[in-house]
Amino acid sequence: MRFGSFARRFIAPAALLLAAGAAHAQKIELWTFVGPGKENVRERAMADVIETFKAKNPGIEVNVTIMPWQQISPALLRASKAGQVPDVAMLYSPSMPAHIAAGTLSPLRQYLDAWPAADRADLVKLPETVDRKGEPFGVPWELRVSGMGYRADLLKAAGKRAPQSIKEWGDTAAAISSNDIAGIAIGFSPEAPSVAAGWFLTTLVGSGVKVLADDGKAAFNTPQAEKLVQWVLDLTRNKSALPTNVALQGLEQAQTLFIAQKAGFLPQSSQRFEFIRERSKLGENLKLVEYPGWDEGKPSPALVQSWSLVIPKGAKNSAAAWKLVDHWTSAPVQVASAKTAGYVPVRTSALKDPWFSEPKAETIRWAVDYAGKHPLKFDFPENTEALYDTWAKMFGSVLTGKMSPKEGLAWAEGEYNRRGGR
Amino acid sequence: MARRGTARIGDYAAYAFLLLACAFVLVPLAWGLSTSFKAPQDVFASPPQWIPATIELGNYSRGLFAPRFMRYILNSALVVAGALVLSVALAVHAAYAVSRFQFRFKEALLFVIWSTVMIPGVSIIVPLYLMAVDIGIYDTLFVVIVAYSAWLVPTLIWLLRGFIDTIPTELEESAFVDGCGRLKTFYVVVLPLLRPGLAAAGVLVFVTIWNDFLLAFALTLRDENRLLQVGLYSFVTELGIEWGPLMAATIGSTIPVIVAFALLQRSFIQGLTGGAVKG
Amino acid sequence: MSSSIGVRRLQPYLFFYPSLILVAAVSFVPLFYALRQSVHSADYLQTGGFVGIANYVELLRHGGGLADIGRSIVFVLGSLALTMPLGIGLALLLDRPMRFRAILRTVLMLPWIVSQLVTGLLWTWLYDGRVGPISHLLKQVGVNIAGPLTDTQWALPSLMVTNTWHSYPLVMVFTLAALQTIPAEVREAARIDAGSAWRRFRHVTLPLIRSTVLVALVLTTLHTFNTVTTVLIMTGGGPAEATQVLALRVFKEGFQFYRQEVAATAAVVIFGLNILFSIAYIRVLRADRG
Repeated sequence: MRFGSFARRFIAPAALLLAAGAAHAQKIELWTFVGPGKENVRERAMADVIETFKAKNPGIEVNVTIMPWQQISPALLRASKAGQVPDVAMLYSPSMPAHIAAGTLSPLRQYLDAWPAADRADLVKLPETVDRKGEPFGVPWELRVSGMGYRADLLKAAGKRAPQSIKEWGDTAAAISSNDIAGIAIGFSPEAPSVAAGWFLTTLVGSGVKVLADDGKAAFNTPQAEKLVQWVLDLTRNKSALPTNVALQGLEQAQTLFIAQKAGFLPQSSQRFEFIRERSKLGENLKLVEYPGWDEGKPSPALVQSWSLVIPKGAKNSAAAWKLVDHWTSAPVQVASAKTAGYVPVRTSALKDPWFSEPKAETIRWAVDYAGKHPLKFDFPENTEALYDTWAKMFGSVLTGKMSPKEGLAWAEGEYNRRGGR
Repeated sequence: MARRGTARIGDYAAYAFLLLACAFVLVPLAWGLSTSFKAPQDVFASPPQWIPATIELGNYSRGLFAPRFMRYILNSALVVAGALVLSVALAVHAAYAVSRFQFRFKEALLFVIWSTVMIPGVSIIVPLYLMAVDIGIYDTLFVVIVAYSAWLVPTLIWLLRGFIDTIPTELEESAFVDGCGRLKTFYVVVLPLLRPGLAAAGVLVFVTIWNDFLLAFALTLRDENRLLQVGLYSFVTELGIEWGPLMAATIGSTIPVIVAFALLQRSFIQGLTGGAVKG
Repeated sequence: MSSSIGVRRLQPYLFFYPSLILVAAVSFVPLFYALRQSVHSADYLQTGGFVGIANYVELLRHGGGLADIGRSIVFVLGSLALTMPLGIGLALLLDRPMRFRAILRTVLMLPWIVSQLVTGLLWTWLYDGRVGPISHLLKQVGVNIAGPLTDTQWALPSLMVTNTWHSYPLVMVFTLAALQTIPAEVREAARIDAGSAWRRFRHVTLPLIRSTVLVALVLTTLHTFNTVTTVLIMTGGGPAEATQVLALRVFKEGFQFYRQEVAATAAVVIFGLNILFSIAYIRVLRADRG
């Protein structure tokens, strides 16, 4: 009897409250390659995003899973097959076409349509986030533009300006190089070719090479391409303009060389330059310029890549997942992330913030400017890695003298087609 | 007299060569140790400095004692503990059976188990990973414990069988006479005598798992599940190479194994050569 | 009484079979999996149709598989040429009573205790082209390369040296153990009869330790042939594929390119070659015994 009344008075209401609380507390799982933390600016930016989200959505709990960035795409494909997908994940732009084709992502049109028209127009448009019909599957939360970092002090000492053409680039690299300093730090190793291969791609497209035919088969064995490969080969033959061993390594070693102040030029993705500037202690001596094209004053198109937020098909809490996506890509959060970690915002309205006119935001301004003025028109294949890997191997053979540029390109075309784009 | 003289030269030559070999062994370790104490600007000093200009302890706090890295060490320790229990439990029973029992197909089955040692790890890591995904236990410490245990069992059976063979059967027979069952005899009479064998087994399990990269890499994905060697690898591939903290983490994580070896050499050698070397 | 006899009859199986089942599940099943996958096509995670030996032909003909095997063999031979003499030589030196023997033996066994990954990291840093002592030394003697690991000619030999560092202790320990089983009378007799140290080694010592040395040889051969981790961390197969060995190929196809059928095919080829080497060595061992 006493227990019965106790139950009625305390346990039942408590249970009701608990149940109500449970109903409200939603959990979403986020897959990311950088988690919230304090160790560096990227972790702090991430922590901010999640904390501000939690403050605005007290009923939603975000469970963060950190995995190596190279593994998110294959992990998502596997999870899709096993039916155990997260609610939100991020995919690097070269991986998007494969996922769209595999049908692992939820279309996002219904959510985007709920935005006011100004917000929709405000968001940067990246071709890899939509399918052939224009159906969106991802929303970028940051973007990066590849460009050429260079040692302004070395160029000034040699009386050179930032190169405006490929030929000028080669000549300048040779002029500033020495026994101790490599002209260009660009690495074609199949281990990590994305920077060098990305540069190769935009320069090819900029010189009018089609690269891939409409049926997806390789179509880059052209005189223009041969001219470019020959240019790289000639550089390596000139003692230190591009040392062969540097050209055979990957992007990380190239970056390390530049940080150690032993190189004059470093092609790299814009988001890395603040880190490089700080580590190398180069300060104002590190400047950025667009990838030059063959003709003076006409740079190669800007290679824009991004990490996009996606909601996998079969996510348990897509509504809550969308709230996170919406929050993360909103203008205030974008501005905050730019300030904390130098991320390039994905909304043009965000750039109106006065902070972007400060010297600190120079890289961001440069990136947006370059991407806006020289967009890249290229249909990325389902597997960009296969293309980059083939080119990397081609350069390996050409630069070690095993094949001529023409033979190399012919081999690369055959190899890419033999691989079936995998 | 002349004979003694040449003998002495021979001795000196032998010592010289042995010391040269020791230098060969210690140079990479010393260089790594030296780097682990160097400040960033000293790391890239040219010509190479063996003694750091300033001692930078920050490398250790950032590299070895970083929470992420400590987590990797913890994961390895957990897997060692789990695999120790599972693999030794299974192997010691199987070794006893092989040593004391006669049963059908014994020799053939034993051969089958031992032949798995011939299977190169690299050949099975991809299928193991696919199997783990299919079963749904991928990326858990559980599957890592099971996989390592299975890998270690054949060598442990060989090792422990050698030790059990040296225990005279009279002890068990007198226990039977006293009315003890086979199982009880095993636990009460035989097992306590196996301490040196179990020590060798423990050392083998510890070193194998602590040092292994391939299997741990194949079966884990998320940062929180990484074991030690995979964690070290991730330091290099994901954060760009910072040699100071990297060497701190590298040297620091190797010390337990080196210390264990120095203290337990005999068990070590027995463990790693499967009891073929006695003492 | 009868039930306990039944249990007693089961006892051996209860003691033994759990180990057998676990080992079979984790070692044999994956092997069959790889075998099966190697004769089917694949598209990322989807296994496709049966293709017979097409994958093998593809790998060996166009896929660079033969070149990978060639590099593996060169890597093994070069490593053995350094490892065996070093291991046996040090064992011979340690076989005599001397001061500090225990400490020397401990130090000389260290490289084996260190993990493959740590070995790779330590040596990569040692070989560094700009700040490493080795390239500094090479420059002093006039060899001007940017770094042993980034030079297409020096990369594989550099890996051989690293591999030797890691592998010789196994040979040393086995040889030492065998040497210490040689009875004192035999040693004494040899010292009186045989004359020079080399003749003593060739005619007395070597025949006695031969089978143990062969076992060490087999183990080192297989271990080197199957090495992935050190190559992965030191050169990743580069520069320009100079160090792309078959074992690394399996890893890359499986975990970087996600081409499961190629990985499985290469895995089966490695397994087959392992068996081939083992059989060849065992034949020599048997002939030796007879």
